[in-house]
Amino acid sequence: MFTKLLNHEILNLLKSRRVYLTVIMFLLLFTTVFVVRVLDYQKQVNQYIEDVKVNDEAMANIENYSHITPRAIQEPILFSIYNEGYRIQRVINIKFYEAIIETTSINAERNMLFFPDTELDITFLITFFLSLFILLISYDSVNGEKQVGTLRLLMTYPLKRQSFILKKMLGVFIFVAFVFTMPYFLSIISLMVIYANLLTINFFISAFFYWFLTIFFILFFSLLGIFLSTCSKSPNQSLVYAILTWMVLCIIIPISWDYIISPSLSNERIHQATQNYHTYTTQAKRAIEHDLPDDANLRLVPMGIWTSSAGIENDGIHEMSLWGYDETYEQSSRFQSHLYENYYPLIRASEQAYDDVYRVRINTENMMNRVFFFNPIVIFHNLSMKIAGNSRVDHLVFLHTARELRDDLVNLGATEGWLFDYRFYAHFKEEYNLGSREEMLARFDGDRELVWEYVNDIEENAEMYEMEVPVFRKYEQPHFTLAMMIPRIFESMVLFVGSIVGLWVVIWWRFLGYDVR
Amino acid sequence: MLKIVELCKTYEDGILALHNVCIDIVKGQIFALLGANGAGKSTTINIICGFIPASDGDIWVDDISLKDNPRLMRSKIAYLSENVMLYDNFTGYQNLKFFADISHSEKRKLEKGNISENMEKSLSQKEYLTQILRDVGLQDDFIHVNISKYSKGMRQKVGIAIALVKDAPLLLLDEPFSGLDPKAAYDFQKLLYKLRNEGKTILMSTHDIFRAKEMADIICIMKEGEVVMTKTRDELESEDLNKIYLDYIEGRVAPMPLNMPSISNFVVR
Ligand SMILES: Nc1ncnc2c1ncn2[C@@H]1O[C@H](COP(=O)(O)OP(=O)(O)O)[C@@H](O)[C@H]1O
Ligand SMILES: [Mg+2]
Repeated sequence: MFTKLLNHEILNLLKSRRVYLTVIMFLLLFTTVFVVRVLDYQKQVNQYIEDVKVNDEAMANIENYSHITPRAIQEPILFSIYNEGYRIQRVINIKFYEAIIETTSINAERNMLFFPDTELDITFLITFFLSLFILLISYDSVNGEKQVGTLRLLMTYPLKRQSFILKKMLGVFIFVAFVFTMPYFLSIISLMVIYANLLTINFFISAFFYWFLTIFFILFFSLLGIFLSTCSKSPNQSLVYAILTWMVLCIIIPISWDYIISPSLSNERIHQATQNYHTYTTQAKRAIEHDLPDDANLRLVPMGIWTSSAGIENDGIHEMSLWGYDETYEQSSRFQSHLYENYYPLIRASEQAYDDVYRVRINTENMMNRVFFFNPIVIFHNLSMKIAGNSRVDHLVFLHTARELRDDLVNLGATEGWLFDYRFYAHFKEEYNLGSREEMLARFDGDRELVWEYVNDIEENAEMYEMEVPVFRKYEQPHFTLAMMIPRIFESMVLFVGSIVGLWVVIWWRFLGYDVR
Repeated sequence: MLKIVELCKTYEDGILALHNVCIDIVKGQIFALLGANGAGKSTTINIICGFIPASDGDIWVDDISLKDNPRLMRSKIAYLSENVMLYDNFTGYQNLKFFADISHSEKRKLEKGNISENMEKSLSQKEYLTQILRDVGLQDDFIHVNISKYSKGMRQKVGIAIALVKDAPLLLLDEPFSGLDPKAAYDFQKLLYKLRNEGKTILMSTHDIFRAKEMADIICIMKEGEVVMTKTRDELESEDLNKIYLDYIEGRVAPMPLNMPSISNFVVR
């Protein structure tokens, strides 16, 4: 009996031209977005391969250079085809030799929906268009039948009102769920064909949860559409309601949160954290430029930001070669230990401040989830990021791992001595000990070309210092398991399911007293 | 067959639509409800169908009370409204099949297998339904055409076919003749006669005094939610119904006193 009702409902949807057009539009959009995202992912993969290659080369040549720059490189996430998440910096340079540490913390982040440079992904498609499509399919499901009169006719049969509303809900739900599931699984199969070697169990867990969530999302919007269709007598009016509701959920709430509510909630704390960050970086800068030991001869410190800011470029890049080895070594070593003791802790503190900004953002995001528990767009967006491993938390984890790596290297260098040991740059024989710049110029009758030639010559004949290459491992994407996934999404999931059940109860209650005429 | 006992209806906005309406219809009769717009005809039919609750009073079909068993009541009635309501995306046949399906499976559930499957045993369902559509006079070419291409008369025919398939003893027709062209109305009238001869009881509301007089076994005039006159065909034989109607509507004649001794028996029962 009920299956007959349901079959009829689904057939009815299939025969409606409006539904037909909507579905075709959705499928077209899905295909387009998928193709665009796959191309983009391919770009990311190529970039990643390039980055890894550069890194490997640098590590291979580590003996030929005084300073190495290993990098923490995050693999692009295949799932970013479905959910791009925040735009995060996937490569972090770790310049440990000069103790000038660059691990970037705050990156251009994106508001998926409204940032001007938004790239489409499937999550955007679902939250922005699928929601609209569902509403467009279901806005007249009850009052449409009421207007035509079939609702009345049905009510002269001994079926329960509940069966009617259940049939309506399940009809829309099953229909849309099928329309989504079909291209979704096709897309996953095509990914399996294209990227067979990259697919991990992690991907399939994400893919399953993503599908699962979308099903809930569809359920919510089917219910919402039916609810709206019981709110007004005329389908035209409920169409207006549907579009308004969609605009509120999809545009007004996200915009007002991003530009009004969220800033007012977190501005103070972000301001404080930013203040801290500036304080620490200013102090760090002072530590390099001003708080040096009195007898430091910075001209003898060859590398790092100091040299570039001191502008020794034109004729001074080899200046340190012009002095004696011992003095160079000593100055350099003193500078390094100064940095290690004074500058490096400040850098860490400034990173802490950066992270605080991040944490404030994560907190406000979680709060948004709780405040807008009735808005599936917000919750779905948030959940899908957690599932895909593209959330802010994931990026913080990446940053922390990279910094740990760097800290290990820096501390190792400090304890083993090579961090302060300039000798591994080049080892000059005694006879190459040079005088001052003026002396050298005098020696070659002021011909600078000859001086350069001579210096280069010396360098070529220098013996390299045998240094022990520090162990460096690449950053690897954490592979979460089912057991890790569930606690991650538990709270949002509860809110999500709660709002669906709530809506269902409201509809049920409304329809029992609904005027069918 | 159908007994309406002191039915009252006050809408939420305070409009008194029905006041102590009493109607008694015997099996196999055609009963016509006459009345101006807003007299309460549709309200009465809507209450019988269970679309809206009554404020007071009760309705009995055979020995089933609307108050006590609204669901079982619905299996006893078939309803056809002025604008026949059908699924536009489906053909006449598909519409009929859908309603046939739900009426049969529901019946089976309610009467626990004790269902009169009439010709269905010998004919396949498809032949049976096609036969019914032919019986109500739908041309063969239109049976498998989308409802959206149907004229009003054809919709009416499918509507009555749906009511027939439901196989309910009581037909409720709300202004079935309005908007039909003379030929279609004539066909429809013949169809109703046929149904009466098969033993169906028919309650219809109408503005059409002449057709009412021609068809109905009992005529009832309603005015502002009250029954002001109930007369049988025989009583009206030699009278001018049109004049009577206008007299009642314009208030030149006092309403007939309620004269239904059977009601008290019924209520006590
Ligand atoms: N849903 C409603 N809410 C309030 N009043 C109504 C409603 N439906 C009908 N009425 C009122 O009830 C009275 C009877 O209406 P109705 O039964 O439709 O008359 P008829 O079918 O005889 O033309 C009218 O006065 C009408 O205005
Ligand atoms: Mg009416």
